[in-house]
Amino acid sequence: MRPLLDVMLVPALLAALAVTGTVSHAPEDQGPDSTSFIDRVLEMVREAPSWKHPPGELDVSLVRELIEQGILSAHPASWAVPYPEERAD
Amino acid sequence: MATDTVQCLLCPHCCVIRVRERGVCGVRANLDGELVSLVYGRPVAVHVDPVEKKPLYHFMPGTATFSIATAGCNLGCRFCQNWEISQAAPEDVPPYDLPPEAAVEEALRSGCDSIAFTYTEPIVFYEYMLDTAKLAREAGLASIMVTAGYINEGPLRELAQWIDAANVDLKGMTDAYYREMCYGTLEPVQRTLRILQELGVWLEVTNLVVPGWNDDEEDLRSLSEWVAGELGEDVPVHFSRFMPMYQLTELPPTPARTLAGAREISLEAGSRYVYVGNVVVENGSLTRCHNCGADLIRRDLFEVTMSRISASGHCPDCGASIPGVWGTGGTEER
Ligand code: SF4
Ligand SMILES: [Zn+2]
Repeated sequence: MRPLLDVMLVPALLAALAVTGTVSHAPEDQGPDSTSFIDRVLEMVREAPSWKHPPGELDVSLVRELIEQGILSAHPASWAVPYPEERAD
Repeated sequence: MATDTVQCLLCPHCCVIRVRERGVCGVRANLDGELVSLVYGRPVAVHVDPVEKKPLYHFMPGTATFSIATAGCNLGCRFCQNWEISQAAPEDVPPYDLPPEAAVEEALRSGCDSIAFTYTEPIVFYEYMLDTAKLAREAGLASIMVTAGYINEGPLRELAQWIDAANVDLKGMTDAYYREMCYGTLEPVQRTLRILQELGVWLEVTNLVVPGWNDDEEDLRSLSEWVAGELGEDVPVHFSRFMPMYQLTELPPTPARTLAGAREISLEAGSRYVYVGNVVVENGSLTRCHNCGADLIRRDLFEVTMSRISASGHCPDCGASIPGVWGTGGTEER
C-alpha cells in the first residue's frame, strides 16, 4: 500500500493518469508522463482479466490475502439483503 | 429459505451476487454470504483540486477541495475519461490507506474547504463516502459528490443529507444512449437529479458531448429543455469536450464550435448559466449576471481570475441574487 506521504508528492503522476480531472474532464495539456508507477498501473489494468458485464468471479484467495495485508477492506456493505433460495438460481 | 446469495440494492443494477462473486461495480463482493465493500478507506486517487475542476462554478468559487476516489464504477461508459481506475478491479490498482478520519484530517491540513468524492463513481464507495461526509460536516468542511447519479432512491436520500453540492453527469437523453454507451438507463439519473434538488443539495449538471453520438441539435435541445424545464433555469449546465479515450479512441475530440452551439441551445432553452469545459470557447467559463449582464466571475482554466459576487451572492451592479453557494465573495480583481 502506498503511504499517504505520497499523496502530496505525486500530483504529476496522478495528473498523467488523468485522474485529476473529473469523469469527463481531462485537460488536454496532461499528456502521458512516463514513470514506473504509471507504467506499472496501466500494465496491471490492461492485463487484468475482464470481470465486468456480467458480474465477475472473485479470486477469493487473492482477495483474502489482500484484505489480510490491509490493501483491500472487508467493510460491511449497506443496502444488501439475503436472496431467497427459490430466486437464487 | 435464505442462501448465501445476497442482493445489493444500492444501485439500479440490483446485482444478485453469489458467494465468491462481485457486483457489476467490481468493488462489492460476497464473501461467505456477507456483502462487503473492498474499497472502504482505500482510495486510489487523492488530490487537492480547485472546486472549479469538478466542475462546480457556483459553489464556493476559488476554494480547494480534497478529492478522493476508489477504484470501480457501476457504469461502463465507452468514453470514460478515467477508465484506468473506474474500470479496474480494486485488487489491480494500489490504493492509499485513508480512512474517513484521515481524509478529513488531510483535507484540513491541506487548507481545503471541502471534500469531493469524484473521478470514478462515488456511489460504489457509498459507505466510505457517507462516513467521510458525516465527519467532514462535524469538522466544518463541505462535501461534494461528482457522480453519474445511477443510484437507488433509498440510499440516495440517506446520503444526500450529508452532501452539500453535486455535479451530476447527464450523459444523454435517451435510454438507448445509456444502454448502448454506458451500461445503464436514463430514468434513475433523472430521478437522482430531482431528489438532490428536492433535498436542497446545490446542483450543477454536466453533459459530455461525444461526436456522432449525442451531439446533434435534437439531442442537445432535448437535454437542454429537460434541464431548464425540470430542474429550472438556475441550475448551471456544463458542456464538456470529449477526448478520445477507452473504447472510443477512433473518434475525434469534440469540436469547439459544437460546444459553443450546445451552449447557445441551452441558453435558448432557458438555462441562465451555461458553461463549456475542457476547451476554450468565448464566454465559456464566464459567469454573467442573468439580470444586467455584468461580468461576475472570470476563470482561466480552473483558476478564478476575477470575482465580483458579494458574500451574500448578489450582483454588485444591479443587486440581483445569483444562484449558488458563495460565501467567499467580496469585490476583487486579480
Ligand atoms: S453498487 Fe455494485 S454491487 Fe451494488 S447493485 Fe450497483 S453494481 Fe451491483
Ligand atoms: Zn446584475
